[in-house]
Amino acid sequence: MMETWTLLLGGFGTALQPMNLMWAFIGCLLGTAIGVLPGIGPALTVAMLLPVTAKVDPAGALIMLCGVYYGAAYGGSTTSILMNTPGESSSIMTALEGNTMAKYGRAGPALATSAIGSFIAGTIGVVLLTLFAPLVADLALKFGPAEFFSLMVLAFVTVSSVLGASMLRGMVSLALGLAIGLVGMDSIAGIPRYTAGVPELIDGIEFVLVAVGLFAVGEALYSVLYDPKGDATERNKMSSIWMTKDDWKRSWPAWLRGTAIGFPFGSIPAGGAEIPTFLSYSTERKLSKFPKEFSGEGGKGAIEGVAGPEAANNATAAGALVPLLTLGIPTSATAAILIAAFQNYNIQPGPLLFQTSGPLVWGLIASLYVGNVMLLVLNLPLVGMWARLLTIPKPQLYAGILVFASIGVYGMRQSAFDLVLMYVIGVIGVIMRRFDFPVAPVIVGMILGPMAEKQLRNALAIAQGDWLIFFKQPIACTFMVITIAVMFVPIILRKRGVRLAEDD
Amino acid sequence: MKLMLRQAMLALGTTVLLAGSALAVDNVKFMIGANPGGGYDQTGRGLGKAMVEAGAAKSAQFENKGGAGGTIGLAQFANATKGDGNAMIVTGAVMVGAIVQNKPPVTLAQITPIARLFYEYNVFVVPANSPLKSMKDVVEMLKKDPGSVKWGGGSRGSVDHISVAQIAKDAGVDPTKINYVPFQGGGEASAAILGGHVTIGTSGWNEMVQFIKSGKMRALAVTSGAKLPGETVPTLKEQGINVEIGNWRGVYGAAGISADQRKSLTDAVIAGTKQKSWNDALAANDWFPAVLTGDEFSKFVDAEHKRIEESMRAVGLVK
Amino acid sequence: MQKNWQVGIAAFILMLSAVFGVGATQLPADTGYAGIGSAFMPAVVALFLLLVGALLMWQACTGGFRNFTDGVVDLVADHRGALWVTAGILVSAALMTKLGFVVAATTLFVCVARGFGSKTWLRDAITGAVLVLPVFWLFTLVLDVNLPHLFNDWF
Repeated sequence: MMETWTLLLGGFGTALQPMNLMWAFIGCLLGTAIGVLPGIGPALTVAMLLPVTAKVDPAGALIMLCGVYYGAAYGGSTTSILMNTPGESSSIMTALEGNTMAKYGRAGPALATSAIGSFIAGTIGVVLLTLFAPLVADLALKFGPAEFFSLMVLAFVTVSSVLGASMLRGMVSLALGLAIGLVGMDSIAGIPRYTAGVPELIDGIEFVLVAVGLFAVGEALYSVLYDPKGDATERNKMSSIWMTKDDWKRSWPAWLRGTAIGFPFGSIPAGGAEIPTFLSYSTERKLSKFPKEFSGEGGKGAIEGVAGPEAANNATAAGALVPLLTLGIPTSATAAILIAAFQNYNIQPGPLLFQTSGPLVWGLIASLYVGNVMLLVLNLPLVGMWARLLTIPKPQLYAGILVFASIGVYGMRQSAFDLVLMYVIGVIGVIMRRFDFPVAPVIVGMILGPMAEKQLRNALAIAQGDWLIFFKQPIACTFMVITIAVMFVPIILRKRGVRLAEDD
Repeated sequence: MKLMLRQAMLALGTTVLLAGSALAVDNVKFMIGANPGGGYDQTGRGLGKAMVEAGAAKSAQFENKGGAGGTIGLAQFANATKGDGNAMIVTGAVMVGAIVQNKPPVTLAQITPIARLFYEYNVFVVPANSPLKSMKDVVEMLKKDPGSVKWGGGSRGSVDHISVAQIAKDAGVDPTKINYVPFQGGGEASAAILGGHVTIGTSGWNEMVQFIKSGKMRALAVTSGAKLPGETVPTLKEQGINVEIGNWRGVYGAAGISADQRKSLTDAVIAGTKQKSWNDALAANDWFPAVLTGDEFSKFVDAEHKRIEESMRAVGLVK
Repeated sequence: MQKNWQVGIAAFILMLSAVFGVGATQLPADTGYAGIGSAFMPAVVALFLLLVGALLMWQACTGGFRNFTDGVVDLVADHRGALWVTAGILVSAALMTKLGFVVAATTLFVCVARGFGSKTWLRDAITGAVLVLPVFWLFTLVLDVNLPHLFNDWF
């Protein structure tokens, strides 16, 4: 333990050098900017900045790249809250409550709780990384396809929390998402499905395209069709910019729960931020004392529904560094490219990293602490400015939203066809809104469907067709039991006369 | 103003711009049929940088167009660069595999072969606590019950998958009967091997070497023809399995370029491969240089196409 | 009107179910050791679509969809604004490679603002360009993403 402290202090010595501070700042700034724009994600940014690693010393370059990685996780929430345009799959849940809050004049508290929650989750995550990395890594390796599929089943069951006013129409949206997810190369058998021979469809339909189309374009079209002048409603009236005492009281536990969910799942190979943010959102919705405030209930947006998923998202980012640094295993596209950056210096992340490049790694870990503080300082003053953006008159506001949406979609593949597709998906989004179909389950189905299928088929191949595998392995079985409990305990309780908060 | 910004960018290092004399080609433009960060990207960017350093090109530009195993980038390249003596595309065994599998309208036959650059070899590994000590043990287990050997590796149709199919065939086991478990990306595969979720795994030597050196995995065999330089891991052939397979990469030029253009582009590439930065990249990634140019390279690619097609037919991926 | 639309939506879901169902039968039946193959998930999704589509059709024919969120039912559409927004997106997509990214995105901005009733098109054009240029520079100059331009790297 003492040794860890000495090494970490040495790391701070590296991280606090003025040059390295500057690299951290550039990285955080760039990461935030990238996170704000939909379409261009941190993976692409880190990859494009890779050539930098040829000219800067290893510590500085890696500190900057990690700043981009962390900064993007902070910035992603901003567009979700302000424009209802989730640029990364991890910020969909944030859009649900955050944008509703913004519409009712509470963009400030939504942005603040996500910035502070990100800071707290990020910092706790780095502390856990510092103290327990090897231990967590060993645990994470216990997750194979069977365990992962059980976890997906749990995520699917909790999806009911985003279904909206009608269970049936929510299920229709989910089915639609699952169907979209089927298009493209079947990653197990290696054959294309439902591509109609179009090569662009072999890799599937891009998530950002569907999310931006359904959320941003759909909303803009809906608004221009049915409510073009509706400025005077309650929606754009700005109440407080800062979080009230009550907001703090409701955010704290959500931040901590989000961190507790995000960090371990971030460290699981093949994890990603989607499942932890879904699970965190469902948890908050189930535990909240104010279920009526959630957007799905027609409420004005519940702050814990922003605080939890945002904390989970950033804790996942920290968790993903555990297998990256201790095992050399990337759990996300960005992490994979970070490994390439290490390799540019002939540094191989993995079991030998702490021995071979100790000072560098500790400098990097220390810079994560510094980066978190920097991002908080950078983001909190921006909250006021971002929130004021919503006082822009409706024509220019929606024009701006659509410009950013199309920049993101076009920048992704430089294809004008994608813009037309975005519009078509937007029209579908309008029809869905008009007939009160929730759009979030489409995205959930589209992301979870292919993941679940892949893990299911690999798990069954390993078990040679034995479906009971999910109950034979302890971790998988635990998740299955939790799933069953989540499904049936409320029913049993209701039968016995006990009513849970969300049932009334 | 623009120059100033360019200089600032140079300080940040995002552009490779160096003046050189006796330029073989002007502004070399690389098409990379994969997203930034992967092996194709590193190959293209590494070679472009080396060509500029060698003074064989004034500057190097890169365009990434990922998707469908590189065939989307290939289609765009073939259509947009006809007759352009400065354009190149990075190709390799993966792209040939994707062409065999997806049968796209544009293939390598339409564009001009320049050079093969290097090979990458795979290694077969088991978790450190596995009872399997050599490939012979694995083959015995495979012969007894093909389904009990769970092979972890990259996607179906990849070099990983084909090598497993060839081992089965060599052992007299029906290649369609292997229990191959595909993972996305080397990271997921190494985690599954480390966690003991699969019996044996295969992936690039470079991705696995750290686990082997740290004792977390045991290497059973490499897929190269001879032992890798400085390593003691035996080859498949040394263990009586007649399989040798590698993942090669190379570059092609645009369609319809003249013999002169082809020659000067080839010379520029060769000059690049003599640079220190290129050799450093080779060493860092465990890429084994295997430069082949001209008609020999064309013949090689044709043979590869046939070999990969046969292997894919054997495992039922191609009808 | 409402009823026709609702029946149409339900029919669309049922049609989708048929497309995925028929598609599933065309996929190779090879299942390997898993016991389920490429066609398994498509078949599940097709059945799921069939189930929800049938329920939706039943609701549509027996008094319409149930449980609407308040205020969704009675809305009157203003199509002129939507036409401007549509035109903005499609025109910018068509002009992207010809006029460059900055002009196309600025056009989009002006059209959408016009759709929402803005009459100050010149001010909108300037606002749009000011918004687009920094992003354009970030992409092309810092990140090396190739976006179409009108005459040089700067524009």
